[in-house]
Amino acid sequence: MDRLQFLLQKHFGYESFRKGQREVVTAVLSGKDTLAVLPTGTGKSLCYQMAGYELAGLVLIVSPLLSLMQDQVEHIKVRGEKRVAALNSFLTREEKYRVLRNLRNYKFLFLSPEMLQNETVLSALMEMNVALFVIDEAHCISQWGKDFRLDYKRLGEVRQSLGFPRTLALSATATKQVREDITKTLRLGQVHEEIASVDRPNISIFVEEVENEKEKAQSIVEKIKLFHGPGILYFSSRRKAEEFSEILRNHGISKVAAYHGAMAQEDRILLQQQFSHGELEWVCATSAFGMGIHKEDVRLVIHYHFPTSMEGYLQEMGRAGRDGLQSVAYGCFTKDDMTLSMVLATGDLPEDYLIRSYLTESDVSSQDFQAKTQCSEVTMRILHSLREEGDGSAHLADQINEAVATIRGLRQAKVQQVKTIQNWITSTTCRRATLLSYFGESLDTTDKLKNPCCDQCHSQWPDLAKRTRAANEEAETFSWEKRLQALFGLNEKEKKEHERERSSRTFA
Amino acid sequence: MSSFLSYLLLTGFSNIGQERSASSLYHILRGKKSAQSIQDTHLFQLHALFRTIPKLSRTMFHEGIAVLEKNSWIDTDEETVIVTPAGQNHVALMPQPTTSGLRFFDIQAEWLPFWRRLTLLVQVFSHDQHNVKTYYPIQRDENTLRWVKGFIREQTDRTRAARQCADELTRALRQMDELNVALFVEQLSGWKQTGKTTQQLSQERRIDPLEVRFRLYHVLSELLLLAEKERQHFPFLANIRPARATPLTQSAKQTLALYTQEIPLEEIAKRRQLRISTIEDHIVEIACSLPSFPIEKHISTDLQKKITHAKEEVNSVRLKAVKERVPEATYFQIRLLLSSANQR
Repeated sequence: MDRLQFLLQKHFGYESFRKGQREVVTAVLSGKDTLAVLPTGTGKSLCYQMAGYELAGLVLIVSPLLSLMQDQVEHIKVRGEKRVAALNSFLTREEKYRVLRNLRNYKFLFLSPEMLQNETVLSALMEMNVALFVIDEAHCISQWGKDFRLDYKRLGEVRQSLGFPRTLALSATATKQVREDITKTLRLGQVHEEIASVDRPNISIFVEEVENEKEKAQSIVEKIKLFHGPGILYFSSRRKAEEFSEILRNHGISKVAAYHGAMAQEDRILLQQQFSHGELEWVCATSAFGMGIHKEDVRLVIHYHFPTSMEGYLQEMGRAGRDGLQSVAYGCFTKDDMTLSMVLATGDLPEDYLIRSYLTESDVSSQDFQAKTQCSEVTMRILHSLREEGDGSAHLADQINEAVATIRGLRQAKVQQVKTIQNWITSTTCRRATLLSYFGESLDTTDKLKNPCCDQCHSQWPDLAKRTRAANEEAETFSWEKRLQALFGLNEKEKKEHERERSSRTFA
Repeated sequence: MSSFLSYLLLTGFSNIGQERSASSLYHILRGKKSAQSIQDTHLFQLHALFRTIPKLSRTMFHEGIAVLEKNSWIDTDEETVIVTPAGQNHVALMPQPTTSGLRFFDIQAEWLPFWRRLTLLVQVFSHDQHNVKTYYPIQRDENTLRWVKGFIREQTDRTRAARQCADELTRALRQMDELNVALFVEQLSGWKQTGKTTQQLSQERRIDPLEVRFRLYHVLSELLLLAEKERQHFPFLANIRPARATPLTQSAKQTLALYTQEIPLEEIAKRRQLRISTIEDHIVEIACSLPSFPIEKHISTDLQKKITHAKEEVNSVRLKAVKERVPEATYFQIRLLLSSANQR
């Protein structure tokens, strides 16, 4: 057994690497700056964790989403690694200082990009030996990526302040253009690229055009009544996700819930865990659902609304079938959806006049400005980044022109992304082949023969397990005392069963 | 429109009567930490409502009032609200839970850390008992995680601790309202059993989500009471109960510091450069939250009797009406006594 194999077993308990992992770790350990594009669910985080164990010093991981960051920290802790912490705006001042004072005791430190703009944080990090600088969701650097973040653009400067540490940029979806942006912005020198295929041959793709909302709901309800989950339904609005979960309940589907970002964190955790444990079969969600769901056996991903980019689609449909078993990505669209998604994609970008007034009135607080103009949280975040971006430049007029140009470019990019996915939705050629070609790949036809491909190839739906009547039945209701006893393992019958289960596992 | 909100609003307005504007109830439901809201909570006996809907919006509040008006449950008179006989009838006919007995005001700072610790510990114990080592914690709050980690480390016998927890919960819950308990237990998570969200319980049982929350508050408030008053019978609950912070405003705390040095109120006002009436507000606030406050220092027992008697006669907490009957008492004295009366 070689060294990497040994580490894999020791720290992670796995027997073998997934596609691309070994190559990435080897490249990082050989001292190269590395850009890895590996599909979601293939264990990107394992790459930096493993490399971290072989390098002396701290591993910094920049991660764009707070919820994602918390989840990654938990994931590492559950594995048994306690030398891990996160620095983000969730923490109180006191907690932040606690982390900064104890930097030497950590191996893995997660940071939001805005934390790296903080002088105190940056100078504390400059004192440290940064063994590896990891940028997760690196496509956020490029405006051609689907979640462009202005604060990601400055990571190149941060990298310079830290003395150009060894760097690993990770993404699940990055076209050639995005990859070039990543390399340029991060000022990576000779970069080793490790690109895995985005194809998921075990997921059959079906897209259906319907006349109206009513027909759409009917088509989807029909599918859900026919097949077993677990499954995820995606919606572009919170309200629609809630409404549809109610519709499903009215059709006798009981293990269903809505999930979106406006819910309390405690509720979101409960729903995630219910879904992971199979207590929930269907989740009607916005794009907020998915990160942090470590579920291998999702059979169906259904798009009530399609996302506004190919990258987004690939990510969401890719949550199906991580166990390699036959799964389906199914989506419906009406003509109206096309207009809606254009609005959704660009609606949060600030108009020129907003940029002008926000940058001119630099003494107005962002709260006051938001109250006055009624613009969204996201718009405010963009405006704020624009203001900070321009700080220090001598002429206000230049600053404004530059900001306006940035946003115009961004709008153009978003429009292009929406057009691309709409072309794909309405296209009459093989879905898989078109999807792959967008990411610069061509379809390996041997895989295609084995599995049902897509509606355009006239494939039949694969044999997913059909729903039986039992699956529709309500869960048994227990008295509260029974429930409490079960929780504490005090229920005798259940306890014996558990013992038996354990002993059979031991002798197997 | 939430029917439970109607119920809460009617309860609140019945107690307040026409002595305050409608928005005073809004601040109480949101739990505004102002001397006015805290005093009102004591004066009008609204301990069950204080801070029970911290996210209540102005819009929700006004929609709630509009519903009451539409049903002729209230009449509005400029800023104040009068509950009509029909409204009083409606409250009386509402099924459980009543707000009586719920002293949410007292546990406002404790319930959330207590709930987080308890749910996380139940999850830990449950997995312990089923010999499962890896799982995702149900709580993510750093303070809770750190506290529970420390608590678990101190347990020499974790099975015993788990049994103790189960035993105390069972004994405590048996004394409580059946539905409250059922909802509470369904919100606990453990091995192969994840807690339900408020929303889910509301959908399954066709209960207003606000009511689901209220029933949880009832259980937590009763558990905390047992943990405090019956330590010897509920040592586990007593151990995980968060330290009680005095629910005083920052300014009242400063006044209290000077007051305990026996500095007269006028002198405190001078030193703090505040009006004497503000200092008196603080004293009322302090007397309401500290049962040991020496109220007789400010009102003779004789005068106390007179004021109490007058209040019963006029059957109102209206200060003016009481003052008319006991002209020798100051407004400060009347306020002090009537507000803090239920503390003793």
